[in-house]
Amino acid sequence: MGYTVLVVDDSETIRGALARAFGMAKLPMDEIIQARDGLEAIEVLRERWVDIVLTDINMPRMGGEQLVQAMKADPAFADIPVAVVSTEGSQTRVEGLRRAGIAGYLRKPCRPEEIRELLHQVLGDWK
Amino acid sequence: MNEEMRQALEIVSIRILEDAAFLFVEPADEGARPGPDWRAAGAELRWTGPREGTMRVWAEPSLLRVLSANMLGIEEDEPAAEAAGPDALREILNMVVGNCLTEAWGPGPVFHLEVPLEADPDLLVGDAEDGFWILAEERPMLFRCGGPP
Repeated sequence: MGYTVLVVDDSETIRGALARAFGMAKLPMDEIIQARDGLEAIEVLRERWVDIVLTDINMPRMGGEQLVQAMKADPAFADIPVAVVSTEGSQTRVEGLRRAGIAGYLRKPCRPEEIRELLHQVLGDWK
Repeated sequence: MNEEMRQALEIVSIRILEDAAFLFVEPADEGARPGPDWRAAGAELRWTGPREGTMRVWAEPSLLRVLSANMLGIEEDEPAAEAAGPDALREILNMVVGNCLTEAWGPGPVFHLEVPLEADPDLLVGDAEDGFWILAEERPMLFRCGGPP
């Protein structure tokens, strides 16, 4: 049995590249669900259980920071771990995201082994 | 082009293209630059913060297919590679800008990056004059960084 991951990024290429990286890293995945922005991610979360959310920061309509805030404010989603995968390099902003409750952070571009390490760090031992 | 950003661009653009799209990249000397009839697709990204600016990137359609194919792990001649080419170029620009800002100004300042957009084709001629040229898989690619529009 594997994990269900929600990947949130406005770039179809990045969503595809992350899905490819999960395969290259031989991660135990049941399903990779994709959303184009925070609003779509919230819609997915209302319908589906996911083990972890990986989100970009800069997206149209609802960005990653707003998505983290919305999830942490909603008891139905507050316990779902969120990791940020972004080009963001500002320590101030990353520390703000950590205070807001993110479980991990990776800077783009990232290698499959870094994604594997991030998921292992957040989810613990594989199912 | 701002000198700090130009230096950052020289380091970062090559690293991002190698790491994210698995391309062989090298700086282009003047002799390797294309002529005025070069046709390329462009992407543009603006940012605000302690320093504001805009960066554009230009590449020919055949290189866009290579970018997207390599990032997605598919063949260049698959329809999905052609369809994803412009999106791949925008995302490469997003990574280059995010990493250049840190390279140039350190991890302290907070910048807000806008969503990358398709560039106005009329801007290519001007960008070609003072932009930063590289060769990616022996095909020309142009970056141009400037102040607020």
